[in-house]
Amino acid sequence: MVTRSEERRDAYVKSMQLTNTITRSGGRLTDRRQIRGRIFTGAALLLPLLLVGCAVIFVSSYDEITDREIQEAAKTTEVLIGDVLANQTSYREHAKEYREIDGALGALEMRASNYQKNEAEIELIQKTRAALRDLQRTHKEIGPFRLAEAEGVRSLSFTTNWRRSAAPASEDPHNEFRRYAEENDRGRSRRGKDPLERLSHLC
Amino acid sequence: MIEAAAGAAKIHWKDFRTYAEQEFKRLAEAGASLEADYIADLAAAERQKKAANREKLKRKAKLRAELAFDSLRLASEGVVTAAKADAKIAAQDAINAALAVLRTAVNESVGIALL
Repeated sequence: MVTRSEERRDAYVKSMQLTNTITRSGGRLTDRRQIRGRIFTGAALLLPLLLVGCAVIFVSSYDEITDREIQEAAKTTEVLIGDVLANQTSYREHAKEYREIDGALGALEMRASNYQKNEAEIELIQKTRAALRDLQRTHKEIGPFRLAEAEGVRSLSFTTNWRRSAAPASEDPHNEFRRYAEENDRGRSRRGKDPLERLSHLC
Repeated sequence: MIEAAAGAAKIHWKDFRTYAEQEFKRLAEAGASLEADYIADLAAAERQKKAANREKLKRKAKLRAELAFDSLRLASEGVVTAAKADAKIAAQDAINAALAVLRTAVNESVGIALL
């Protein structure tokens, strides 16, 4: 004997089951809880897969043209510094080179600004240009600069190169610039080969 | 994964430390040299008999020192900029090294080069 209240309860349970039932696939019923569970499981499996499939990038990737141009500018700068330190050459003799180096660095700055996550490189190029302008002003308004006065430009030149190479400092081919600078400091450039020729293997 | 990440970060730190130590040492030496040059320039200016020449040389010495110290300041800031960028590269390489280990593990478990 089924009472009226039991009938009502059965009807309620049936209606709830009907509400939860949203699809019928392959003869199997799938309710909302099951679907939610499957979505969570899928997401939990897919998320690591997505993460593993992607590499993170915090700093702009290597650009061969920028690298070559930075080396070229560093080389020209070092030849200029070497000549002034060794031969006490006048500003007039190097005015064109100052303009060329600044122009090359300006073009590099423009190129670097086209890449995302490249702020460090842009900043380093800007600082190199500013330091070079200081050196140029010393040369123009006072006379041939001294060894210590060129150290800022040299350091920035090496820093920009070092940043580009991302190789161990001891094995870094760009240390050749440092070695060349040290030779210049000792006044060997007068006896050696032409400075450009000596550095040509680097580029 | 942790070992791979730590390895990648350590390589960067070792390289950066060598480079930064060298550059800061050079910049410090250059700073000391600039100071000595400035004192010598002022002493040379003081030896001038004509007051006009003396003042002119002093002005030149001051400008020379200011420009050179500004250049050193820019270079020091450049090392810091490089340090920040290198720290980001180290973090990037560490994360990517860890992901590479995970990628290999996933591919091996699936049996095909899925990732």
